[in-house]
Amino acid sequence: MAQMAGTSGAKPKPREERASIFPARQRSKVTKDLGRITENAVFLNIPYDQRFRSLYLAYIAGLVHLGFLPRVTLGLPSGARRLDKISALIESCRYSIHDLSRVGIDRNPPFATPRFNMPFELGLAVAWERANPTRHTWFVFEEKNYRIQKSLSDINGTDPQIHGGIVSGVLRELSNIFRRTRDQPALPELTSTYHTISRRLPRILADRGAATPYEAQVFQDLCYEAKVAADSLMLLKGSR
Amino acid sequence: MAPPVRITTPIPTLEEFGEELGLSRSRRRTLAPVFVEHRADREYVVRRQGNSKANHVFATQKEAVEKARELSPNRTILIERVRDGADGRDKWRKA
Repeated sequence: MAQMAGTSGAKPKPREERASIFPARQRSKVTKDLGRITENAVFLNIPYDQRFRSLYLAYIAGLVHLGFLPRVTLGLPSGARRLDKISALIESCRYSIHDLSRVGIDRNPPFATPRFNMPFELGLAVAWERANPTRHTWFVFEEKNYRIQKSLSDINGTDPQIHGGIVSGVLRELSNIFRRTRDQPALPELTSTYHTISRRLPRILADRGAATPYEAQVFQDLCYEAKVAADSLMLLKGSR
Repeated sequence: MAPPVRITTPIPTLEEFGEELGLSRSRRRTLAPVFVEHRADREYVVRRQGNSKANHVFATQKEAVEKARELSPNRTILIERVRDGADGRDKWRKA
């Protein structure tokens, strides 16, 4: 079962008093523009590869339609500063989603290696949540049932959301974990938003001169297009 | 399956969302949806969301829709219904 924090209603401590997984000296600069927790922000920890493209779009469509602001590590600088930025990004988000579908060997050159980024960032989120249980909630998504019990047995007892590697699975699981008290969108609405941004992707890539959707500006455009599509659907829904 | 989280935070407006996203103002204007609205004085206006004033004014809905399609090709255009229903005017349909 995913860690369910943040429901106690306890008054949050000022930021300076809250624990961090990084020393204050390191955080001071990187948290300058990420110094607050955004209640509707979701940190999205996913693989950036071609095979994941449709699921990437599904996460964006689903989260935006549900009223969230997705945040990703695209566009962050590499090196030591990148780690600081990632942890600051996680700390600024009320929720995080960690997709551990890619546990196999990545055979792309120069070396065939497993990819540790996703579990590593999950570790950062778990540490942050344990230090600040009312400020963060994390969820694990997986493609295959029971696989995580082997690949990451340390989190046994945590039920992952199984999406089956398909778009409708991702949208269904997002709907399962996030329930709006009012106007919960139905699965066909989320699917419609997904189809809209899928159609717009080639135009966005051309506008941005990008080869892949895994670029910061393309991500921004996709989120905004998803919001436009979701708002239009709501307007039309209210008109029926 | 993890138990659901109840979300009570309000859904942001398009403007708020674009701002939070850090998307430039000009890009937001380009991607903003286009509406064809009906005015009481038998005029049809084409307006992009975020603009307080009409971009173009036409005498017929057909002309207004054509202009909207030109401004926003391959995108959904929302048209204000002109028939008065029980709930009044503020209803929309796709082009």
